[in-house]
Amino acid sequence: MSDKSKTVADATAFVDAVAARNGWRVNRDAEFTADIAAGLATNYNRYGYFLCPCRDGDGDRASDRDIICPCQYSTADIAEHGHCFCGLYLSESFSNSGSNPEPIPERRPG
Amino acid sequence: MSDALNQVEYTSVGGSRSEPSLRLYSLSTCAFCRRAMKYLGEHGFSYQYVQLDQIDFELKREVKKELKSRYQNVPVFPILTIDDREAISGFVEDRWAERLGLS
Repeated sequence: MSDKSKTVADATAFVDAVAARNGWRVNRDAEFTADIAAGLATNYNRYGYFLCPCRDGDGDRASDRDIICPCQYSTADIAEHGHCFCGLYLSESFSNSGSNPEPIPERRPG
Repeated sequence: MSDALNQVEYTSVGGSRSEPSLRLYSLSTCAFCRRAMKYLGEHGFSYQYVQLDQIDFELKREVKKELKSRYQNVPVFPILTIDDREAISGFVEDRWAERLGLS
């Protein structure tokens, strides 16, 4: 593994930092969140950036730039649905409600 | 039609329910996809699946194009096709239960 590769722990630390920076909560379903962190690490090691693990990108940073985690749609999705497309980042109120994120409509054009 | 859907090498999962005929288009990195596979397994469905992020890029493009043209509104993974006639996009347990005759 190269020095630049990311472990699941690295991805988890990234997720925690993104959530803290934006005032979001991380989904407390440990298994679900661990799956997403593993997906993020896989995508980082495959493409060189944290491509959203819930979407299929092109593997090209320029065309995937809107779906690099945290994606450009996360703020609007969290405002409207209480969580991001992946169900990873939650608003404080959604997190406090104890509800489980479910799939939401894709906001990305195309 | 190029019929990319039939060029894909699917992995088969056995189960006690062989009807309807199910194919799951998944991403290996997606937590909802993993949850969906667990759900199908827990309910004993036989199905075929492919992790689209792990196949040839050009074939993947064709598969996505064909899924869109056959089933129209399939923007969210996982995508489950039922008897090659209809598709569900995104794993919402209640909706899957209804479409799979479990509710």
